[in-house]
Amino acid sequence: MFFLKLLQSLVKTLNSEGTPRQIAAGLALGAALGLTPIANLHNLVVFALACLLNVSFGAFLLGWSLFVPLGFILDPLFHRIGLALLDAPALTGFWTALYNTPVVPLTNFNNSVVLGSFVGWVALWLPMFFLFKWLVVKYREKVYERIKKTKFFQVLAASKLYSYYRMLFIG
Amino acid sequence: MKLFRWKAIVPLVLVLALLVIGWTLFVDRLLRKGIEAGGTAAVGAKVELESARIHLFRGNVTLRGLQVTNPHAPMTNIVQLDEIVADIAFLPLLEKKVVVDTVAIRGLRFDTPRKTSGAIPQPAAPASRASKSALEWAQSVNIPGLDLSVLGKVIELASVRPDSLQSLGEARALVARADSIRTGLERDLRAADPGPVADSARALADRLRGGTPRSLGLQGTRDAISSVQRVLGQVRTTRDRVTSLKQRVDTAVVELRGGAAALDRARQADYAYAQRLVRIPSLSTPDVSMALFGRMAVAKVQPVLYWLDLAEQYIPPGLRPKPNPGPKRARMAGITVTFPKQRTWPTFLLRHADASLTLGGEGATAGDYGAWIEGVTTEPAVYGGPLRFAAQRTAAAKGPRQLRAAGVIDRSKREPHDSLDALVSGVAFPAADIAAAGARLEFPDNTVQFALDRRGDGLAGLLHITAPGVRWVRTAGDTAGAAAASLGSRQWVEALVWRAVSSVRDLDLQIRFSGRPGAPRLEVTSNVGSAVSSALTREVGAEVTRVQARARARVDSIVGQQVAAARARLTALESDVQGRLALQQQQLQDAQAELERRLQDLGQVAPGVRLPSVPRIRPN
Repeated sequence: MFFLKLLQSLVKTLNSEGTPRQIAAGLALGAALGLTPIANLHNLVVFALACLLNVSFGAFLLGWSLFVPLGFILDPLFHRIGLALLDAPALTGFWTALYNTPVVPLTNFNNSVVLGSFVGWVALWLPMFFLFKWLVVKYREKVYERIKKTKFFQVLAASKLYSYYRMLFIG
Repeated sequence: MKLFRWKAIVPLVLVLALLVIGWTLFVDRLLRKGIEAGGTAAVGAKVELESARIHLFRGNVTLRGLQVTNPHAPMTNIVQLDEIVADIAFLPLLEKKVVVDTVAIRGLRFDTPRKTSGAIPQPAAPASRASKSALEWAQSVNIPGLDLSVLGKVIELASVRPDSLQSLGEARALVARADSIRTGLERDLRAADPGPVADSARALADRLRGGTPRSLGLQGTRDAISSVQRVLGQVRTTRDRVTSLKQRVDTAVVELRGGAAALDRARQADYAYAQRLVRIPSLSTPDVSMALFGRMAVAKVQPVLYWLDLAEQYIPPGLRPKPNPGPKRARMAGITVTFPKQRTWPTFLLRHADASLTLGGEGATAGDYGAWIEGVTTEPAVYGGPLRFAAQRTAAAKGPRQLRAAGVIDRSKREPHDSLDALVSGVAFPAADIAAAGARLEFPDNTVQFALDRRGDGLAGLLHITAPGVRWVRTAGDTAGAAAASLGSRQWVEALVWRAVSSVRDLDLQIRFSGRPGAPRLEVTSNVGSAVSSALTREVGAEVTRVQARARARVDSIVGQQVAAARARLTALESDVQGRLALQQQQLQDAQAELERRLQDLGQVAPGVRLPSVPRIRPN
């Protein structure tokens, strides 16, 4: 209960403005937690960034939950990418240096799934950001304008649920 | 719009604090589970731990109630410890590496009984592979029997069938190969027939005999030299062809001689097969020792091979990146690769552990012990030194009088070098059933010496058991009936072996294994085997020799004709084809020499006269 209240206040505090750019950045950051195995140091850094940077924290949490199933589905692909990178003779020196650098091994970069999913997320971050931004703009222009006049939406708008919905998608 | 949300720092710190509290609450449990899972995977049987406690600020870890199951005896622990306190270096932890500076051990016991079985249904791949490999080796060891039932009976040699004999196949293959080579060579010999060229050369030489530039004139001399050069060229080409053919024949002969050697080996194998088929055992001391103590020897060596294989997989030499299965989690585990580097910390290192302990009670292990070990690591090449250990029993209350072990396991270089020496005296072994003697051997007071040396791909080991005052207990019963037993029957053999062994009071048994670490040869020698061998040779040696000769004769009668044919083909190829080629080479050489002489005669011309150049003749 305490944790939920804390989270609620955190969400309210963090989302002062919800521009398409903030929402897209939040979703793309949240994808890291969904796509890569959760218990890794880099995810703590991503979480801290989501808190400290002025992005939509609600979108960050939504991105996390949306990308978790995708992460499970894509694990075999991530494993192959990661293993190919770890096995590449040209990169052995680089990995050896990283492996023997303090703190870096705590990220578990030397695991094929962690490395593959992290590299996949980094490579997809910008395309995801621009795609989500475009989708949010289109949503607000076309879908939101149409559904906000429906009775169901007006009932919903009066509820607490809507405040979360607004916080996430409209800002 | 502002880029940072500074207000978020406080909630973020609170979340991090929650994570730290969660870690503190669960880390001990995670460590215990990790040690149990890692240990179980490494050993191939259950490793259990009552509790684990990390004292981060004190820099140590305390493990309580550790039990390591013996994978070959799941109701027994190889080792059991009441408490281990390990001082851990902090900085390597930042590289996810565990470096243990010192260790204090309390309540160390070996070979303790377990309440529940420590077997696991599916051992991890390395343990499973090591176990399978050791088992395959154990099953592959040929332990001869002492069955002499064939003696005194009509020997059924008809069971030695032609299709079971290797030498028959080898002989047929040799004949076919010789015929094929012969056919090919005959064709090439005809194609390379040097007769016409040699005849032509001889005819030209005869025609020019006595001719000089003065008698032939300038034009005639030029024409003659030109003709000699042309024919010499033909002779040279033909000689090259014949020489090349000769080389091929020589190669073919070497190949066929190899086939003949293989045929000899196959024949020896067939003799051994025929002897096994009619069940004639070898009466040599090593074979009789193997028949008596082979099973015991295999049972003693099998765990040694298991642990060697496991060490090979977990402590690989060199600095290559090493793939391991990733951690178990809801997501796919993947592969975790370690990247060792010299002059850094290995993933795990126990620098030094010193133990001096007293085991109380009335058990065989009660007494004072002293032991030390250093350089225990998962990456010896990173550590750069060997693992060394030594242990000894300094005072005994009961059980072994003397117990000492010392060893070096050096995987820090490309070629592994392991050496181990151990000595235990005054130890009692479980009684061993010696089926061939229909007896049980009890050795209550043994001295066991174990030595192992492994360098690169070579392994040599010795397990030497000496036991004064051994006791033989007859288990077959009916000693009176044995006297009336027929020659070679089981009762007869048991009675004979019993007479031979029952007078042996001191046992000297040497089990040697050598060769590749995965599949070493096993040799057993013993004074008991020697006594039994002498007794058997004295009683039935002549009869065994006679049966062996009959078995060999049976093999010879089946394969003799084919083997003789194969040898004849080889001889023919050597004498006939090689002889013909030598003759042809000689003819061409003579013709060439004759032409060269003519050319020399024709070359003596008047000064200032320019003749076609005389070719340089390549000596053969």
